[in-house]
Amino acid sequence: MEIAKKLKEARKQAGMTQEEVAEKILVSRQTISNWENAKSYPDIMSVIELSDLYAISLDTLLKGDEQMIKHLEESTDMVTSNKKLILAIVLHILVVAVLLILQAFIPNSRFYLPGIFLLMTITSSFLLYQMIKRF
Amino acid sequence: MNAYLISAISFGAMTLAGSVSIAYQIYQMTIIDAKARGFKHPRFWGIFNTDSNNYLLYLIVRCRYPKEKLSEKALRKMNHYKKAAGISIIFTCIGGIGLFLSLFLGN
Repeated sequence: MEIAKKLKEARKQAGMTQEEVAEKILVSRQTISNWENAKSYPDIMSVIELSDLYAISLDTLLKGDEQMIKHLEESTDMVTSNKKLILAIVLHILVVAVLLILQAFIPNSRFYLPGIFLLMTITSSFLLYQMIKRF
Repeated sequence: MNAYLISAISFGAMTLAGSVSIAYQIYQMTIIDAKARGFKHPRFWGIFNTDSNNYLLYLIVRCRYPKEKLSEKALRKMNHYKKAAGISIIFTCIGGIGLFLSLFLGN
C-alpha cells in the first residue's frame, strides 16, 4: 500500500485531525494533506516523527512503497547528488571549451560565438537554479 | 540614441537587477541553512555565497554539519526565497540574452 494511504489510515486510527498532526510535527496542515493525497512525500525526519505520533513502526510505514523508498534515497544521498552537480558543471565547462576551440576551424563564423554565448547563458542559469534548489 | 542602445541599456538594467536579486536571495537562504546547521558565522557564509562560485564549496562543507529541522516559518521563508531566486535567474537570463543581442545586432 502507498505511504499516503497508510498515513491517512494511521491518523484516523490515532483519532487525530490534520491540524493536530501539523501542530505536533511543526508543518502546515496543507503539507499533511499533500502527504495523505500523494501530492508530495514526507522527508525521513517527518516519517520518524509520524511513526512516533501514530505509534506505528517505520517498517510498516515505509515497506511496500517503492516510490517513497526512491524518494528517500534521492533526498538523503547528498554525496551522489553533489557529485552529479559537479559533474554537470565540469561537463558544461568542457563543452564550452570544445565549442570555442572548434570556432577556430569554422570560417565565416559570425553567428557561432554569439550562439555559444547564448547557450552558455542558458545552461549556466539552469545549473545555478539546480544549485539553489539544494538549499 | 538609437533603438539598439536603448534596448541594450534596458536589458543591462534588467540583468543587473536580476543579479543583485539572486545574490540577495542566496544570502538569505544561506543564513537560514547555516543557522539550521549550527554554523558559527551564518552571515559570513551568506556573504561568501553571494558569489555563486563559492556556493559549491559551501555545499561540500555543509555536508559535515547535519541540518536541524527547519521551523514552519523558516521553511516558508526558504521556499519564498527559492521561488524569488528562480524568478531572478529567469530575469537575469532574459536580460543577458537581450543585452547581448542588442549589442550584437546594433553593430
